[in-house]
Amino acid sequence: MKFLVVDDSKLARLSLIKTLKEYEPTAECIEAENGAVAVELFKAESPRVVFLDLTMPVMDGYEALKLMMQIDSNAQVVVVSADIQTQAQVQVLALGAKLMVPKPINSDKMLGILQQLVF
Amino acid sequence: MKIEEFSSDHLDVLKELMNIAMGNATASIADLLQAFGTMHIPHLTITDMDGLKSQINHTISADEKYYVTKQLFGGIIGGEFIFVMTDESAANLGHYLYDVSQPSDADIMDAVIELTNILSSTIISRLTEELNTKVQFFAPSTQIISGNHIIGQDETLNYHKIIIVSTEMEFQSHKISGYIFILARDETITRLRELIDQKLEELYA
Amino acid sequence: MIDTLDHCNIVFDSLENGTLVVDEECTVWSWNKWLEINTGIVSEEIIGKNLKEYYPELDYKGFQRKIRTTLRLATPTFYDASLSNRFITIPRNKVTTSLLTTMQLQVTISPYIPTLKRVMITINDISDLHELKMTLQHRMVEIAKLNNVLKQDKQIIDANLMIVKTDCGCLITDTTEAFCHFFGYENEKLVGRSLSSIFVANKHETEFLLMKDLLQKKQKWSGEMELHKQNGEQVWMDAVISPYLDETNEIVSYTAIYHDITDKKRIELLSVTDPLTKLYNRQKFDEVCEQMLMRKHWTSVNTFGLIIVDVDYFKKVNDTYGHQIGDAVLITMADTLTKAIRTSDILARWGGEEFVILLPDVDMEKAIHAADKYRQAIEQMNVPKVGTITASFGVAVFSYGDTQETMMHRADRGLYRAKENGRNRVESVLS
Repeated sequence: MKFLVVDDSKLARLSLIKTLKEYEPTAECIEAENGAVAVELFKAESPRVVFLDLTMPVMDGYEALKLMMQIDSNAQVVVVSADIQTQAQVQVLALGAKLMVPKPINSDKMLGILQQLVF
Repeated sequence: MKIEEFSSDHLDVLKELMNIAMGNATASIADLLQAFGTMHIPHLTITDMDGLKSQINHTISADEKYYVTKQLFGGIIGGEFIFVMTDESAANLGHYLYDVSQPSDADIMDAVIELTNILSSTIISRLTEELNTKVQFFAPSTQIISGNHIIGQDETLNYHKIIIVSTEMEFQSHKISGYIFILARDETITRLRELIDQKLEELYA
Repeated sequence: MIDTLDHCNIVFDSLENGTLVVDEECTVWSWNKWLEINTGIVSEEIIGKNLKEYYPELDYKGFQRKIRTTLRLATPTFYDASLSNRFITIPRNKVTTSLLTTMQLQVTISPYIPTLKRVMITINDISDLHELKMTLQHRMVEIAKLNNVLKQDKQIIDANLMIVKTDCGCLITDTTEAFCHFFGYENEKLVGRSLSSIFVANKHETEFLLMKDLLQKKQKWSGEMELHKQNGEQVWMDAVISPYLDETNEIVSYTAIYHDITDKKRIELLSVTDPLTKLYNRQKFDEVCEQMLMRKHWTSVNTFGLIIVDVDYFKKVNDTYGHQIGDAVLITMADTLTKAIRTSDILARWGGEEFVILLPDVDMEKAIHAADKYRQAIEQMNVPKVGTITASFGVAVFSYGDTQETMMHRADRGLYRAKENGRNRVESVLS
C-alpha cells in the first residue's frame, strides 16, 4: 500500500513512518518536504493515503490540500498538525481532509487513523 | 561535548518540538482571544551575542517603541523567554482583554504580561514535556522600550554561545501579533543536546 | 485531610509574605497571618466569604480569567506590578519617603487544589524595589535632560572654541571643529599626530622650554605663541595648556585651548615698532630695559650690557644724498644689526641715527666683544650710492644700584669717547 508523508521536518516524517510500519510493515512510503513537492508526487504516484502537515515553507498544507482535492476528489488526506485550534480543524475538514490529528503522532493515534481509512 | 556538535537532526527535532509547542500556545491564546491564530514556521540559530543582536535588529526596528516582556525559566534547561509586541498590538490586546475602548497603560501592561505568561508557560512547558523534563517560571517584567534596547548596551558576555528559537504569534482578525524569542546559552545548549539525543535514539531504534 | 490542611495553614502562617487560597468564584479558603496583620482582617472572619465583599474595587473579570488560566495551564500566572494595577490595597508605613503610601505587590497565582478549582495567591511586598525603580526612572529623565544640555554646549564649544586634546605623549586625540577650520586641517588627519609636528615653527624657544617645564611639573601653562596655519599664514595665539591628572596624580592627557589674538598683536606691534626700521621704538626699549633692571639675579660676572650705536657722519650723508638715502642707510643698519645680534638681545631705534642694544647674560668683556663684532658687520655693509658706512659704539654694563638713566649716561660717555678717538670704534665706561 502506498502512503505519501508530507512534513518539512525529516524526523517528523521518520517518526510517522516508523509508527505506520508497526501496523503496515509492507507500506510503501513516499516523502515530501513541502506542499508543492507533495502535489507533484500525489499526481504521479496516486497514494492510498496522504499524511499532510500544515505549516511548511514554499507551499503550506492548506494550499496542497486544495490542489489534491482538485486532482482527486476522493483523496484520503489526513492532516497531522501542530495547529490544534478548532478553527483550523473546521477549515481542513471543509477543504476535504478526512481526519485531523494533532502532533506528535503516536501508536494509538495511528491505529485510529488506519482503522477509519484503511482496515 | 561541544555545542557545535548540534547536528541538522538536532535542529530538526527541536524545530518540530517548537512547532508542536507553538501549536499548543496558539490554541491557548486563540481560546483567550476567541480568534484564530496563524501558525508560523519557527527559526533556530546557534550564534553569539553579535549574532543575537543582528537577528533582533533584523526582525525588530531599532527606533520604534515596543512592549518587551522578559521571563526567565530554570531547571535542567533554563533560559529567557522574550515576547515583543508593537504599541498598536498591545493596545489592541488591552482593548480586547479589558473590554474597554480606551485601555489604560496599566491595563495594557497587565494584558501583555498575561498573554506572555500564557505563551511562555505553554510553549516552554510543552517543549520540556516532550523532552521529559520540567522547568520553573519566574515573574515576568514588561518594559516599553525601543527595539535597539532589547539587549543591554553593556552586554559584554560575547563569548557565550546562544541558541535562539524564534517565531511569530499572529491573530490577524484582532490585529494582534508579536515576536517570540527563546534564548538559552552554554550549559542549557549542552543539556538540550543530550535530551534531543535521547529523543533521536528512540526514533532511530 | 484535615491534618494536611492544618499543616498547610501552619506553613502559610510562617511565611513572610501574604498567602491566600481562593476558588474560581473568589471564595476565600485560606488567609495567612501576614495578611491578617497587614490588612486587619482576621482569617476567621474572611474564610468562607467572597473576596468581593472586602475588596469590591478589584477587576474581577481579569482576576477570574487569570485564575481559570492558571488552572487550565497548570502553571503560575503573574500579576503586573505597576502602580495602578494594585491587587488589594495594603497601607505602607514608611515615613522617610512618601513615594509609595500603599504597598507595591507582586502577585503570583499558582494552582493549589485543581480538582476543587482552588488556587494559591502569594503576595510579595516589592515596594522598596519599586521605589528604587521609580527613583531611578526619575534620575534617568534628569540625566537625559542634562545630557541634552551638555550636547548643545558641546556643539557650541565644538563650533566656536579652538581646543586640542592630546594623550600624555602629546599625540593628538581630538580637536574641535573650530580648531580644524581655523588652522585648515581635517580632524581625522590630525588625530594620532604630535602637536609639535603641526606647529613646527615655534620661535620662542625659551617660552617653549618654560612651558615644557611647567607641564612636566603638572602645572598649567598659559601664554602667547606664534603659530602657522596649514597654508603658512602666521597667527598669534593666546594659549592655555593644562594637564589632566588621574587619581594617582599621573598625567593622562593635555588640553590646549587657543584664542586668536593676531589682530590684537598687530596693533600692539604697531605701537612698539619704529615705522622706518621696523625695530622696537624707544618706548618699547624703555619698557624692556625696565624689566631687565628688575631682574634680581644679576651678578658681577653675569650681568647685562647696554650699547649705544651712532652712525658716523650721518648728517653729511643726509646733506649729500638727501633724506631718502639717509633713510636707506638707517634701514640697512637695522637689518645688519638684527642679523648680527643674538636671539636674546634686544635691539631698538633710540632716535635719529642712534640705536640701542640690550645684551642679557654678559660681562663687560663679552659686551665689548659683541659691540666690536657689530661694528665690523656695519663696516662690511654696502649702501647703494653711499658705499661704506661706519658707526661708533658706547658700552656700559649693569652694576648694583644702576638705573636706566645712569647706564645710558655711561654708554653715552663711551660713545662720546669713541667719536673723539676717531669714530668707527668701541669705547666703554666702567663707572
